Amino acid sequence: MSKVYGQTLLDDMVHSQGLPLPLVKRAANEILDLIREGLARDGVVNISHFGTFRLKAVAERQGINPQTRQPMTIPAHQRVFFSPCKALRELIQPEHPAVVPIPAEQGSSRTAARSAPIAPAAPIASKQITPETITSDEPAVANEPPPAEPPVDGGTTSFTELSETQITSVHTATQPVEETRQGKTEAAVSAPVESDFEKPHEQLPSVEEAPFTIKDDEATLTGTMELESEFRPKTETEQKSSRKGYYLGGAALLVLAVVMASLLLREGDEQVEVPAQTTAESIEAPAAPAAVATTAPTTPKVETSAQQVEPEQAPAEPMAATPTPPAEQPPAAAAEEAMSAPSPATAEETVAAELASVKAKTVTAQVQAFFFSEQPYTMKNGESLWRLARRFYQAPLLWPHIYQANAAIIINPDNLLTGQQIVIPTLQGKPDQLTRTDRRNIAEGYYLTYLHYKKVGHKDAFFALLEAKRYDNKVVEEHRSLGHIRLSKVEEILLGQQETMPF
Amino acid sequence: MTTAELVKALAKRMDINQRQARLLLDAYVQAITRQLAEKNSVILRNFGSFSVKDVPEKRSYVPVKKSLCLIPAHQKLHFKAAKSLKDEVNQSPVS
Repeated sequence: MSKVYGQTLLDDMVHSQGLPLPLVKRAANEILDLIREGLARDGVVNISHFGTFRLKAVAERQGINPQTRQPMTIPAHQRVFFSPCKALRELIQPEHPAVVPIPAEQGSSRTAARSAPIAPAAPIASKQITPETITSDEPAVANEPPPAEPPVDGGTTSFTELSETQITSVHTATQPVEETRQGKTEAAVSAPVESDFEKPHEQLPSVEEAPFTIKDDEATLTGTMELESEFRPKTETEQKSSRKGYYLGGAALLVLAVVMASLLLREGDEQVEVPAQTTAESIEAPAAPAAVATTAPTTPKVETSAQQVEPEQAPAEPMAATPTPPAEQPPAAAAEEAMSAPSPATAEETVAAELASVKAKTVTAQVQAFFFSEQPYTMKNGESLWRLARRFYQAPLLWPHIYQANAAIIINPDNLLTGQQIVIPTLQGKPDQLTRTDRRNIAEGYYLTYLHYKKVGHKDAFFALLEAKRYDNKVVEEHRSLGHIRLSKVEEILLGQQETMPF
Repeated sequence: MTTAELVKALAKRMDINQRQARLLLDAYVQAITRQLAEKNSVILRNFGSFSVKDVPEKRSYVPVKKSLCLIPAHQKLHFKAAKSLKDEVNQSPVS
């Protein structure tokens, strides 16, 4: 097991294939470049008789920065996996190791598997077959413990009374070891069978040596009684008490929800108050030059967070006035504030401002970066519009927005081709706060989906039209007035009932 | 990207015909395979490294039989992508 580098491969190719070195060198580089490009473009590169390079998505997770030992968030990304083909697999691991079962005595549950060490298999206790067990009424339960009776020499009346049909073939194979035994045993001997039953009487342990006996303790009796009580049907009082538990749990959840909601609303209030205070005090107190430098980065972001918070607080406000893109407001506001900026007076406000700025940096800036950049994108293996919308808008339901921007390129929105170059259009507002233009575009996207589904004969065509109306009524009305849509009577009624959401 | 696409692109880039490109690809893959058969690690700059790793024996559970089982120790092929490949694939530096 040594390390081998690219040069060794080239030498191998030169010697085995007789190829010139410069050609081989160039080929090696080009092949690796192509695999790299193929992975970046399609997400999968399959080389026959070698294996498949594949990209797999890895979710975002919490980790620790190894240098600073601080917790950090490792963002979601793609990881490269290579799965070798069968020939290569078998070359490395010649005989597939068989799965070896572990006996049941060591615990046959998953938790036992994790906790218990692997111990060698315990020898299975041999079944105690004595003549006494044969006299029992149920011949199938031959391994039951023998009753606590003195050993019987044979010739029991019960045994002689048994007819041939009652004795199973297992018992007929038993040797008549007792000469004093009378009755059926002599006649019932068949060909000798190699089994425990064949052991002569002297080797079989006596009853006193039996490994287990029925314990008639009080403890076991009460134990079984308790066990039974768990599973018997509940009495009325028990039912009432268990129902009470459900009610209490539901009430507790409701209380929690109310408390969380009130806390969230109160948080919003505090954030609005803090910048108001800072601006008030900034007007009063003159600034030190150092303070200006430190606060200049914080105040713009405080402003952005305030502006983000204000629309969030009033979702019920009518959307008549299209809000200008929030990205344009903060730079203007920041410029104004930075001009007149003195420092916030108390330490509490600086801490609050810092928290607000951190929040703004992590959430708003990232979100805005996606929302306000019109990105070209190449489709990868196994991707869909829904996934792209989820990734870029954090709202997969807005996939028609992408579809309508690429309507000329995308033939079938349900099946996008790997390597297709599409454009991810910007979303002017936010998923929970769409602008008029956004809604119109999404409605257009749904209308296009409706047309495509109609053409293809998809049964969900009409639902696409309903969704289009849900986002923007005007789009549907325009197309209807132009005569592009033909509806049945039922569909007309349903369309009339569908209302446009305020969003 | 399939093998055919790879061969086609290789032929186009190196200005050779597809049969020759296929031969080159096969030769390269064979060279890697031969090294791996001897349990050597193959390290390719700016791409990644192939290595053979030992997998220790391990307890497992057979749900069909509801019993434990033991998977004996064996060897497995492992590929680790180089940083430049990871970055290219993610289209941004992995922070």
